[in-house]
Amino acid sequence: MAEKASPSSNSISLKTVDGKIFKVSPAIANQMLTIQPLIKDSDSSTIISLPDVAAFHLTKIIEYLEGKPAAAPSAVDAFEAQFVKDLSPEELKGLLIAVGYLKVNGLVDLMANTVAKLIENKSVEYVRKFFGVVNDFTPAEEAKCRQEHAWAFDGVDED
Amino acid sequence: MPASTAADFSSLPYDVLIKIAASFDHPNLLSASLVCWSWCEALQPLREAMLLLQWGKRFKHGRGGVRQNAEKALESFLKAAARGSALAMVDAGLMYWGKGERDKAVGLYIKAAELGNHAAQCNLALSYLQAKPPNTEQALKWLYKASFGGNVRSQYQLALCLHRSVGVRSNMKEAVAKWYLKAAEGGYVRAMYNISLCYSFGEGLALSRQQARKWMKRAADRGHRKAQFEHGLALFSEGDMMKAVVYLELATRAGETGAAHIKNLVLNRLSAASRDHAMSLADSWRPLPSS
Repeated sequence: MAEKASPSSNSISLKTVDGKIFKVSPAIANQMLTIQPLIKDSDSSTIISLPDVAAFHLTKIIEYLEGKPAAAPSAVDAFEAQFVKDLSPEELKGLLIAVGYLKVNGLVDLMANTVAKLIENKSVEYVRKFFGVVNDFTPAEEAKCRQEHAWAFDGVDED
Repeated sequence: MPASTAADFSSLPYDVLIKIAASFDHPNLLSASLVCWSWCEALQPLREAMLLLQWGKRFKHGRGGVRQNAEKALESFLKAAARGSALAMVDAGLMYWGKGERDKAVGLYIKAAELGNHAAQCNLALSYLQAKPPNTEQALKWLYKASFGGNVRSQYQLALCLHRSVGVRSNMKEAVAKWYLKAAEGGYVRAMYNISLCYSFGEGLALSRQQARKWMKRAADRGHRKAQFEHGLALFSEGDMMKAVVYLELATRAGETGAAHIKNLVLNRLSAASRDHAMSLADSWRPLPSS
């Protein structure tokens, strides 16, 4: 995953799948849990390759990590709300994959919550279409999944 | 621009899918499970958790042919929580809180709150407020999160917390009124009562007797006893003795002792037939649903 580059500063170099190199501070890189172990052993000449992350998504991730206000609770929420609002559905989906792969502090939860709100109370067909997922169940498998546990919920009061 | 390579969402990592569905109810969980084979596999632990959660509730309340057993309820909730269910984390947290094991409760609330569960965020905030010394900053952080997410209980608690922590600073009065109003519009009864008071004193928004009366009636009709008393007094001053006596009777029955005296005054001015009618109205009264 790591290769050598010409030494420059104390920053960490990250190379995206589309070949762009980003220099970030260790404080920022350390919040991407997947690459954390690589940072410990790397020096300023190391380039860490991110095979599942495109430059656009890494830009958004860095924007989030650098821009998130440290204090003022209402400011964090306003920042996160705006961050999500600025994303198109396509961008949102791509970012979800990138963030899930890198395990970015805070952002995994934000993306997961955002997607949860988008698909909650929607039909199965809507969710398939939204994510571009093909139904690969055989009818028998689908029926089995529908039946599974269904008996247990008959006649149970919600509270 | 986004990557040109089309991402395959059937292969979303299992842990990400579990985070997405952590607070889903059973129908939503089943829907997500039916999207494709790998989602179905990924969400298997959460479907198991849903069963454990139901068993936990049966043990907690002693229903569904099961004898009440707090130990077994907690055990079921914890097993469900271990499978990633934020709903179960909240239930397990509540049981620990009830047993006085606050640290364990808070630990579970934190996990569920980070998964985006609004009930957990609200409970976590309240536990920060009750800590000694209270941690208002952390409490506000979670109350804001849940409030922006549309949780009415948090909106009410946020208004209350701002109200208490800022005191009379006038620039915050508007924020207080704004969150009371949001919670009231979402159906939270105590917020209806408080926003009525804000309107009647012009606190944080323009004074409006009409709005104050409207929200007081709404709170009263949903069973808020102080609102029933207040609304009864308003009807009394408007001369509508019949309706006034019904609300005053309801307030009295709910334990609002101050209402009894004025109610008796009004009752004495009504005919026997009207009195009986008022009492039968109070007998058949049921609160409107609220959240």
